[in-house]
Amino acid sequence: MTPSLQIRLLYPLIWLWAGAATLAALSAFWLVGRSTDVAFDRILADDARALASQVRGSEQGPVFALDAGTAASLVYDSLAPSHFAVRTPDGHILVGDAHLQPPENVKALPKNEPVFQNIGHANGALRVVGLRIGVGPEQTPVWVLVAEDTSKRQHMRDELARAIFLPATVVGFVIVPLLVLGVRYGLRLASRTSESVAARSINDLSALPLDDVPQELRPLVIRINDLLARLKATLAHERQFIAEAAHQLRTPVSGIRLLTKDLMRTGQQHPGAPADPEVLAELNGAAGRATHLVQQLLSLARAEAGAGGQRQTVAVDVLVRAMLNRWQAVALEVGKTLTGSPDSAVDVWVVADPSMLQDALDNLIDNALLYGGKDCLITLRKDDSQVCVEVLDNGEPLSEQVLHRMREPFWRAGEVQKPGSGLGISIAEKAALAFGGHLDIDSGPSVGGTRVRMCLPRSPSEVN
Amino acid sequence: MRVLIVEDDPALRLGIRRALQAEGWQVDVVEDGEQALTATRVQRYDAAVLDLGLPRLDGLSVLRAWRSQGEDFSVLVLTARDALDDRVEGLNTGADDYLGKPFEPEELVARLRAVARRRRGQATPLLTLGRLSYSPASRELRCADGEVPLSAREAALIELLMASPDKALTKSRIIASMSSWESEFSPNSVEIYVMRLRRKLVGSGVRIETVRGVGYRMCLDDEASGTAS
Repeated sequence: MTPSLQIRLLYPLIWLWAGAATLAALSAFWLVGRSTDVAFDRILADDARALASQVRGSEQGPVFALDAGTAASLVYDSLAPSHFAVRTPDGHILVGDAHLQPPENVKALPKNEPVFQNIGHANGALRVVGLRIGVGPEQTPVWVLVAEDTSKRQHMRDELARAIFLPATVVGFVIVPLLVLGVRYGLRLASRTSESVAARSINDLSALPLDDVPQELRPLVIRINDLLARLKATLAHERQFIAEAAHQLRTPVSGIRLLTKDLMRTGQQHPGAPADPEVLAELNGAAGRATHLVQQLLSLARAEAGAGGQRQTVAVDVLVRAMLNRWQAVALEVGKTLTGSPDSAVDVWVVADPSMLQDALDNLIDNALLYGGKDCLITLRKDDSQVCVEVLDNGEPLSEQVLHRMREPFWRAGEVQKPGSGLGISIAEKAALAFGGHLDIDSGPSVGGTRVRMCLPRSPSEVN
Repeated sequence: MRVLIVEDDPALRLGIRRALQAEGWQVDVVEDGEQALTATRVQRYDAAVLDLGLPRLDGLSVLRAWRSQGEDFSVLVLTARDALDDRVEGLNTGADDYLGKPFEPEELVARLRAVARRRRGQATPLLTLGRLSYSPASRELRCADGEVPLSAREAALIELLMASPDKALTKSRIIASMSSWESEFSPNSVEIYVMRLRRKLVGSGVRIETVRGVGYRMCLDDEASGTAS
């Protein structure tokens, strides 16, 4: 699951803060520890210098001017026991502990420069400073060594660690909830927007208010509003369509209802008498009209759903040839001629649902025979990319307004009184669009009547 | 009662025609708005059933034309739309009532009868004169002695005469009301039916009087009116 925006904001913030705080605390600890070490070393070196100042030259060689007790008081440290020794390189002890050895390999060092080193000791580690001085006219080398227990420094380091890390940890415990609160506060406006969406009724498709929306979420809300507006328009269109469909069905259903009641009434009045053939014929007609309308509605729904059909490669010329044969009888019945030239483009294939495509073309021919002129001509044309089925009738030219309106579902020419659902062109157009094609309608002397052309892309896997 | 049906759907047209004829009414049928205007130009009607969605000339235009020509018969509008605007516009244009499709034949008949009654300025469904009462809905004529049996044509004539008591109805008006394009009612038939009714009304306190050169009038018997006053 995608983590929440709050977590996404908090994680980097907390990691960033923890990293920075740890780095700062460690740096502070190292710097303060180092300064403390330097300060302790300086004190140690000063002690060594104090001892060194008491070394004198004499005829017997270097001597220490003070007694051991005074010397011990010079290097006294209340925190840790100190050790000291003043000795010559050859091992003669002037004063102090004999076990304190001068550092090795320090001959290259200049005189009077303290040298520090840590050494092991029976009671723990010792920090030792060695100061090599020259005594008397011969500058006889003498080592002044002062050592102290490192436990003092360790103790100080522990104190520093507590002083630095403890407050940082405590601040950390405070900072994290504060960060959570801060992020929550920042996201509150977003939550408010989402709450206002959640509180809406299913029918409320009005735009979301933009007043309180944070800058970052504004583009999202604007796009959602855009989507809502389109959804609203689609729903309104659907509702209008359903109302229109119901309206169209009401008339044949009313007729069926009245005539059924009439049959029942006459049946009661004259039991056993045959039903009035006129009533039966009209009842049959009304049921047929209702059935046709329902079928047209289903065809339109199927064409609108588009992609749902069974797609396969269809030979358009074969389909058109079959349709021409099928519609001859209807054309004859209404006294019109139906001719075609499907051979103008043989072996052209499209990818479509064959029954949906046939339905669409049937509607175009039905329309032409019903509303068009006396002659109806079906032509097949192809170019490199598409194939077009043209249905041309030599009827009266249609006005621009009619050409535009005849694409609307249920629209029927007001001045004509002919059967039909007003859905034929819509069904054909929706099917053409579903198969990646288009439907064009032209009318006028230049095309010789009214021409409805359904063009579909040729199948890429076409058999040559 | 003579009714004009203006409806383009053949099944609905036949269904309405048969439902109204079953009531004993005379019915003429046209299929579009232009035919409707032609029909009312040559014939007088008591009521019309008018579909709004008509070819050539829509129902509202027909209604507007009728009212602007001074035609005052009752008009019951039929429509497949539920929209309030359509209903309001229909009523404002001069329709007497409104019926949405689909509808039951009984409701159509009842509404037509109601609008026709209102047009006559009659509040109750029963037509009365003296001790005589006639119910158009059940086509029953009653007098003090009980029910008077009537044929469909006699009932139509009684309804016509009792709707305008004490007023002279011209013969041509009676013929117009009792004829349709399918069956013409002749002046002789009027006389025959008047005679039959007179026979049935003997002793009812009501009589049908001949108004010379004009037609017929239904009124109380002189004795009856004398007794009453």
